Amino acid sequence: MKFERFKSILLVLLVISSIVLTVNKWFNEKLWPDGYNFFSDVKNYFVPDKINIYSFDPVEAVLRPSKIIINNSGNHTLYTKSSTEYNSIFSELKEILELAALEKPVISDSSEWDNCLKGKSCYFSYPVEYGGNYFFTHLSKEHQNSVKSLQEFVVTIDNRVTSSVYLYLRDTANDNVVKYRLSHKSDVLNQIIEQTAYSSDGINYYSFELNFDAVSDDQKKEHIVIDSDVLINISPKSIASIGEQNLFNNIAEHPELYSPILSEFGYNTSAIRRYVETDNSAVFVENYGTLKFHTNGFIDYKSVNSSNGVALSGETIYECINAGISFVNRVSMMLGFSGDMYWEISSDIADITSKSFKLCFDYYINDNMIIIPENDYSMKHAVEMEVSGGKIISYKQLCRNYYTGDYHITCSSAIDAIDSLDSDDEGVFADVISDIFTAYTFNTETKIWQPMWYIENSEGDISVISVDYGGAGV
Amino acid sequence: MSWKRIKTFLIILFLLINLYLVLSDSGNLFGSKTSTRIDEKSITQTVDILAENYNIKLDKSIFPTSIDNLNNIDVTNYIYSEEITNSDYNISVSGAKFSSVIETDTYSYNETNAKKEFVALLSSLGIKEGTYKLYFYKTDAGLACYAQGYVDKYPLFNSSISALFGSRRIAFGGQWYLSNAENIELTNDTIQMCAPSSVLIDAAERATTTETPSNSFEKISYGYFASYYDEYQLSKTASAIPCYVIETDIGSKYYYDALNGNFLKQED
Amino acid sequence: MSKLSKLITAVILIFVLSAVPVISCFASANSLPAYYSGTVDYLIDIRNPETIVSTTTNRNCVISAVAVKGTKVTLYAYNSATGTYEVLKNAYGEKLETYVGSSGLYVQQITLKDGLNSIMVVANSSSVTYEVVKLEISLLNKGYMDNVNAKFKSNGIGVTDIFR
Repeated sequence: MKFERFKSILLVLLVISSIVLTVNKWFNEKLWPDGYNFFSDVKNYFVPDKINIYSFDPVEAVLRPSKIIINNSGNHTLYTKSSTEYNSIFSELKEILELAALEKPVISDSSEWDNCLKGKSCYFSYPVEYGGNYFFTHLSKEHQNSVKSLQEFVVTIDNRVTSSVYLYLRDTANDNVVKYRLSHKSDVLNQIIEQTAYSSDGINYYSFELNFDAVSDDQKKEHIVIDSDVLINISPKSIASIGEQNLFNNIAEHPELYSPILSEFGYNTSAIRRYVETDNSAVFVENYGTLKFHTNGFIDYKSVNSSNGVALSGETIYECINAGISFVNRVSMMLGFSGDMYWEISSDIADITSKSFKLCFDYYINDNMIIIPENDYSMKHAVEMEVSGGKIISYKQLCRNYYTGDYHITCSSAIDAIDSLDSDDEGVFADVISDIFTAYTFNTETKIWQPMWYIENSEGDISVISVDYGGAGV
Repeated sequence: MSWKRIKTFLIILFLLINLYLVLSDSGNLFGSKTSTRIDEKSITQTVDILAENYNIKLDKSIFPTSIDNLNNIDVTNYIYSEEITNSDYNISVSGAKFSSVIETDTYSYNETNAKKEFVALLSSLGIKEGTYKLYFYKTDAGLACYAQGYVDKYPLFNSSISALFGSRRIAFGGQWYLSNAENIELTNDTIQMCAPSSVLIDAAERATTTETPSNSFEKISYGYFASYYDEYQLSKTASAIPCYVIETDIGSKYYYDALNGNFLKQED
Repeated sequence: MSKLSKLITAVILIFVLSAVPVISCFASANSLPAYYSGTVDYLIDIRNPETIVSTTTNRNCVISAVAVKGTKVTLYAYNSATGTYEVLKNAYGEKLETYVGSSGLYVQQITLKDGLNSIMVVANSSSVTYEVVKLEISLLNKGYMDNVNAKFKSNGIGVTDIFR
């Protein structure tokens, strides 16, 4: 009997081994000469060698405003993503937005909007215009949205009615203001407003509060007109200096830096071709594209033609855009930027109607944007990505790190900055200022990064104001 | 028939099946994927296609039956290397090629002393013995030889230096690539190479549609080829890719990328 | 003293005394009389506060205006103890005096006292050409506001609606 038992076991083993050998023979035979072994790829699918856990959620990222201004009856405090209070304020705003997604608004107007800003409210805005449906889909798939495109919101509370809050939204397509009445207790928001803006820092006022948004009839007093909602700095502000570091020094000798990025771009490391140029830039070539790591600190990816490239997941346009945003975030996280830096989208999403689009991002540090020296890198923005038919066909990113320096620079007030505009320039008075802000700019003469004032007109043209700073304060 | 007998019969049957699978698959056993095998049938088919459609003769015996799976390796272009700057000679560089002439004490060269001096010359240029093979031949201008670059046992096809031995001088020049890899280890992770069949057919197409058509393929070589990603731009390092070289009877050489079968270049 | 020296002294005195108001105007006097008024009315338009008489609950009040380029604007507050308008100073002891630049915009934040604040805005384009605007701003403190609020709440009206 024992012998029979042994025979049975042997038979079973032989059957299994012949099955295994047959399967192995199938998988190993190369069926076609070009590209990769299809079945090897299928095998790899079942055995993932790297599991990446991303804590970045593109849905959440889109909902996070770039600017939050808490208004408490004439006192205004500005918060950005680098502020410590940002997260707690945002979580309350997100709850309110989620309620609004399911409601239908009523028509309101600009004067009500302005009144909210004068009282107790929270204004928040996004870096670019978003399509209304694109934005609200992030809150709920069953949203009731009818707004075409948006960028700014105001949430206000009424002390008499603590069970409701009011959300105002400006439709950038037609400049209409709509209002949502939401059943949501106002106590959290009230506390936020009371705590954060309890005393004015004496620095920021809206243009409409100063009544600088109205043109005077008096010819003798010709003056600049500033859009109502522009927040104006009326006293000089102290901004930290920044330093710059090239992340790609000797990049060819650092596979630990470039390998993760190569895998992100879908490069198969066993079939990769590496070239080091005479200036030590590293170029990687694969069947479908070339990825170059420039030694002066930027990445440049180009696919062979517009039908090949790095595929973005996502069936709908909404998912595709979010996949693009996630991709930029993943690559950026691999680059090792300082903790003070963050990035915001700079290209409007309102106009995206297909899976072919361009996404641009810019870097920010200490609440100020970093202006890329366009001539040095042939880029206007820190990240420029072109997608065609759901595939990334071109990708450029500045890979230089910026960190807070150890001294402060005093910037003049916004009014003084506008004053220094050439008064002979007719264009200055002809147009309305729709935004005025500081941004870090590289001074080619002194070779340091310093904050400078920029103004934006109603057409969206941005120009720099050169002001002489009396040296750095400490 | 008792169950015992059936079992015995089945055991023998499966034993034979396993034996057959193992033998026909040897070299391609589970986990051992270091080379690509080409079976008899496809060799015969290819030879037939070449003969019938293109009138090209190909001897079955020169057809390789197994191709080692090779990874791309990094090679440094000699003209950008430290070795060329450290050498004592006055070397002129033109494009990717370098050349020079040196004076020696030898009035007349034969293969023995030419070899000795050339090896010494290459060593002083920073090119180690063992990274090349020498081939001597006679020309009208005198004794000549060329050093074919090798990485382990694989030739690096476009890495070669030729030399002409005159009276008290050696003129040499060429294109060279230095590799850090002395031994190539074959691993299981490498992608399978493309079989020579499709490459031969493409070569046949080219070889028969030129001004001077070829009649037969004399040699199929396999090794590395240092490639540039931009034909106008030389880089410090290049990627040497696995490559097939098909040589015809009239001396034309066709170079192909062994991974995907793409045509690389032609030499006449 | 001889009659001639008396005459000379008197003349000099007259000149000196008549020059004093001119000099003090041009150099931004530290205090101005309560009856002080301007010689022109086209130099400056106060944009905030919007009315001559206004109330606020915020101790920080911003005075904004549009003015002719190059005008020097100085702020004074009435001191009932001295009966004059005294020049306002910032935390560093500097006078609140600014020249309006090419933007034509003027803005200055001041700190109010409890109760009535009489603020005088003097806009100079020269020693003889100047405009004076007097503002009355009442700072109501929070305690007072809460009382008023409570009173109106019972009537269903919000105070903030009134004071917008």
